[in-house]
Amino acid sequence: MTGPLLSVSDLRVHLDTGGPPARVVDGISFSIRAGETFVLLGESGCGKSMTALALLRLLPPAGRYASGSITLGSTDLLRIPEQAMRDVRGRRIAMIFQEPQTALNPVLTVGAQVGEVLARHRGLRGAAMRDRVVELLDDVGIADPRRRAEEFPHQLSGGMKQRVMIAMALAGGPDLLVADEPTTALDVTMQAQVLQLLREIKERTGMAILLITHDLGVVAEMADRIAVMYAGQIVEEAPRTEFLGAPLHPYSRKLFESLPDESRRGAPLAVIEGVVPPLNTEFRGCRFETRCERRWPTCALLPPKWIDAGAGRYVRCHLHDPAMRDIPEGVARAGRAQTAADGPRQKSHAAATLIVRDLQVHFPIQRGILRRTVGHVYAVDGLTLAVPPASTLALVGESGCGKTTTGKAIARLLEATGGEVRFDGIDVLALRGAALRRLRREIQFIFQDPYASMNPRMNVADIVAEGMVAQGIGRTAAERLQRVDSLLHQVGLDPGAKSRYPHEFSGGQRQRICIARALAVQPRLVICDEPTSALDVSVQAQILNLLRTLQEELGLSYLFITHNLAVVRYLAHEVAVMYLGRIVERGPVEEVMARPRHPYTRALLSAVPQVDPETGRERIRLRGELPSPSSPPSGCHFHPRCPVAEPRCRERYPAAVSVGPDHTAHCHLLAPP
Amino acid sequence: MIGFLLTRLFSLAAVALGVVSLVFLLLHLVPGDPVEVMLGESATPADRGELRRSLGLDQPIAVQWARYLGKLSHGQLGESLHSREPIVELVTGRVRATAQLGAAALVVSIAIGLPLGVGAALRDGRRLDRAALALTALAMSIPSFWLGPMLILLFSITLGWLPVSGRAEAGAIVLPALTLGIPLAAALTRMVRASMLQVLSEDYLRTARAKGLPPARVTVQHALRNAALPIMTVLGLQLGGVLAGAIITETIFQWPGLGQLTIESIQRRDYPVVQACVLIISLTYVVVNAATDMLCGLLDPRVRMA
Repeated sequence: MTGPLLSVSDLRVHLDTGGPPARVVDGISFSIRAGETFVLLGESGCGKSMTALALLRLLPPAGRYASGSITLGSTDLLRIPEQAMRDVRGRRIAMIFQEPQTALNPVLTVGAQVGEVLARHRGLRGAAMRDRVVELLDDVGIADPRRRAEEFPHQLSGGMKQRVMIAMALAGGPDLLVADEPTTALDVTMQAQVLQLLREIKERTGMAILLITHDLGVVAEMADRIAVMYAGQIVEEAPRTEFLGAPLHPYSRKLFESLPDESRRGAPLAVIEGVVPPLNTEFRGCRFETRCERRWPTCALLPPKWIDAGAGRYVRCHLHDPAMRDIPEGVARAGRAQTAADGPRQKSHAAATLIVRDLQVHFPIQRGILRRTVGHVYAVDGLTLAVPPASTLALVGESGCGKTTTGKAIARLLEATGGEVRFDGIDVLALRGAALRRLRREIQFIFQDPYASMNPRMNVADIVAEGMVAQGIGRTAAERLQRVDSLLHQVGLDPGAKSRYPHEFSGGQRQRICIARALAVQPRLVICDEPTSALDVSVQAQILNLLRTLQEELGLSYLFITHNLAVVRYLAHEVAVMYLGRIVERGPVEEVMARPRHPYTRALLSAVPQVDPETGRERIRLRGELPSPSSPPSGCHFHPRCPVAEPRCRERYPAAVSVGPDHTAHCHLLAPP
Repeated sequence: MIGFLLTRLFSLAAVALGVVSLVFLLLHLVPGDPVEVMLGESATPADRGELRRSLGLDQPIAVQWARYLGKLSHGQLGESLHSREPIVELVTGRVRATAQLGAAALVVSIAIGLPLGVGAALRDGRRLDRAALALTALAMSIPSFWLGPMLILLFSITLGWLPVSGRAEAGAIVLPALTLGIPLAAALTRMVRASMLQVLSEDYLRTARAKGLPPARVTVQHALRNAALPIMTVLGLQLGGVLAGAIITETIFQWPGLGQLTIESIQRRDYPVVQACVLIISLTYVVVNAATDMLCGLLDPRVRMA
C-alpha cells in the first residue's frame, strides 16, 4: 500500500463551555502509516485524548469540529454520514481506554461484550461467535478463556480487563488501534505484559497503533514516531531514536529533565514554571512562551512556524527557524539539569523514628447468613521495617501487595491484628483515647488522590486549620490563620488562596494543600501514599522537590508508598520491596537499585520502561499476576511466578539473608546450601 | 445465586416478623378498650371481665403476642367486630381489587415514565427535556383528590367515555389507574432521567459507541440495563407509597379495595379489621422491596456476589 493509512490535516476541535470556545485541538496534522506505532505525547489537558476521540467522531456533546479533515484510506471521516461512521468504529479503527475498570460494562459478561463486536462487524452468531470469542481471549493471553468468557468484569483483575479490552478491539480486525493511555492505570509488571502484547499483536496483524501517553518510558518502549502535543498543538514530531537522543523543542526537553531518577538525586528536578495557558484565550506568539526558559522577544509576538529540521524531524519553535538569524547569544544553548552530588543524608542507625516488627493485618472473610468467618485475607503478614529520623523509606510493590494497608495500620487508621509498631519508643498499637489522638499529631498521611481526600464544602483555610484545632495548636483563630498563611507559603501557594475551595485548584496545587494540611500539626513522620501517581510528570517534579526541601528544612521522616521506581531512585534513602504482605528485600536505595538480589525485585526493576534509545537490555518478564492474599502460595510466596524457583522454594518461607551492608533479601537461592 | 436468594428470603422473614409484632404492639398502645367498643357503655364489669377472658385479653402481653402469631401462622386474622365475618374472607376480594389497581397504575407509570425519562436524558437540556421536567413537576404536585374528580368530570361526565365509579363496568379501572399512576409516572420519569444521565457519562458507554454499535443497542443494552438498578430500588419504595395512596383514590372512585375497607373500618371502629389491613399493607411493602432487591441481584452480578 502506498500513502499513509490515516492522515489528519489541520484538525480543529472546539469545546463550547459558554463564553469563547476552548480550542482543545487547534490545527494539528499528522499521518500514520500502516503497521507503525505513532505516539502522541503530552501532559493532561494538552488535547491528546480529544484528538483520539475526534478520530472516531466520539466527541463529547459540547465538542464540535471547527475545521480540518481525517482521511482513512481514501475516505474523509468527517464527511460521511453517522451510519457509515458506525461501520468504521470497531471495524477499521478500534479504541482502548485508560481505565479498564470503568470501560467495561459491569452487568454484561466479558464474552457478551466481545461477542457484540463480532456480531456487529463480522456477522457471527451463536456457537461460531462464542468460539471466536474464546479464541480472541486466548490470543490476548487470558488463561482458561472458556470460563473467563462467562465471567463479569468485576471478577477480573485490572490487567485482565485491559486484555479483554484489547480482545474486544481486535474482534473487528481493525487497521488502526487507538490506545489512550492503555497502561497508565496498571502496575509496572502488568504494564510490561500489556505493552508486550500490543507489540506482538502489531507484528502478527500488521495493525497500526496510535498510542497516547504521557509516559516517556512507554514512548521509548513502543514508538516508531512521536508527536509532542502542547496546548492543542503538535510542537514537535520525530522518529524514535532522534527524539530520545535529543529532543528539539524546549518543552520536550523539559519533560525529559523533570523525570526523577538516580542521577538527579539531591538536586532539585527541573520544573516547568506556570501552567498550561487556558485554551480559550487568543494566542499571538508561541503557546509555550510564558513558561519557556529560552524565550526571546519574538516568541511573544509571532507564532512559530512548523519547521522541517531534517531527518524526518519537525518542530514548532523559533529557535530552529533558519529565517530567525538574530537569536541572541546564549539563548540557544540548552541547559540540561545539572547533576549534583547526593544530598545530606543520615545513615540509618538504631535511633530509628519508626520501628515496625512482624506487623500483621488480617481481614476476616465472612460468608452466609450468620456471617461466619470462613477465612482471612492476609493483607499484611509479618512485616518488619524501620524508618530512621529525617530520612525516607520507600515501600514499593504491585497494587494489592498490602502497601497501603501497612501505611494505614502504622497510623492506626486500621487496626493491626498482630505485631509491634514503635514510634520513638512508644508502643503505637497499645495507644487508646487521648494518647492515640496525640499520636495523630506525630504521624500524618498524604493520600494518592488529593481531591478525594479533601472535603469539597470546606475552604482551604478550614481544611488546613482543622488539624490544628483538633490538636489545640494555636490559641486563637487569628493565630491559626496566621499559621495557615505561612504553611501555604511554605508549600508554594499564595496565602490569598485560603478562602477558596478545593475544586478551584489544579491537581498539583491540591496536593500542595494536602501537604500543608499534614504539616499543620508539625508531624515528624509523614506517610505518603502514592502522592504523585495521579499527577503529570512536570507537576510530579514540583511535588517531589517540595517534599525533599521540606525534609531538609523540618527534618521529616517519610514512609513513601509507591510503585514508581524512578521516584524511589530519586527521593528515597532506603527501600523495602513488598510482595504479598511481606518484605522480600530491603536495603539502601543505591545498593538495591544497582544490585537487586531477590528475583522479584529484579523482575520489577526490569519491567520499568526505560527512557533510553538503546534497546536490548535484559528483561525478566513475570508470568501471571499477584496471587490472592487470602490463600498465599506455600513456601516462598513468589515461587509460582519466579523464573528461577527450585523445589525447596515450595516448602518453606525463606529467612532473611544478608547480601550486603544493610541489605537483606528473603530468598533460598541467596542462602548457602 | 441460590445462596443469595436464600439470604434475602431469610432477611425478608425476619423483617416480616418485626412488622407483625410492631402492628400488634401499636394496636395495644392505641387508647381505647376493644371490650368497651364491643359491649358498649352499658355493660357490667362482670360482662366485661367475661369477654376479656374469652378474648384472652387478661393474659400477659407476651402470651397474647405468641397466640396472635400462632393464629396468623394458620392464616387466621380473627373476625370483624362489625359484621362478625371472618376477616380473611372479608379481605380476600379487597386485596385482589387493590392489587389489580396497583398493577394497572404500575403499567401506566412505566408506559409513560420509561420512554419519557430515557428521551429526556438523551436530549439533556434541550426542548423535550425541559418539557418533561416541567410536566413532571406539575404532575407530582397535583393531589389525587383533585386529579380524580377532574378526570371524572372530563372523561365520564363531559365526554361520557368511561364510568364514574365502581368496579363493575368495563373500563372502570382506567380513571383510578390514571389517578394513581400519573404521579408515579412523573416520579419515575425523573428517576429514569437522572439515572440515565449518570450512566450516559460512564466510560463503558463510550466503549460501546467505539465498537460501532447502533444507538438503540447502546441505549438499551448498555445504558438502560445499568440505569435500571437504581430505578428499580426507588420504584419499589414508591410502589409501597402508592398502595398507601390508594386509600384516597379508592374512596374517590368507590373502588372496593383494601384502602376503602380500611377507611370504612376506621369509621366503624372495627379494630381487628384495621389491624389486618395495616398488616397487609405493611407486608406488601416489605415483600415488594424484598422482590426488587432480588431482582437487582438478578440484573447486577456485583450485587448478587457481594
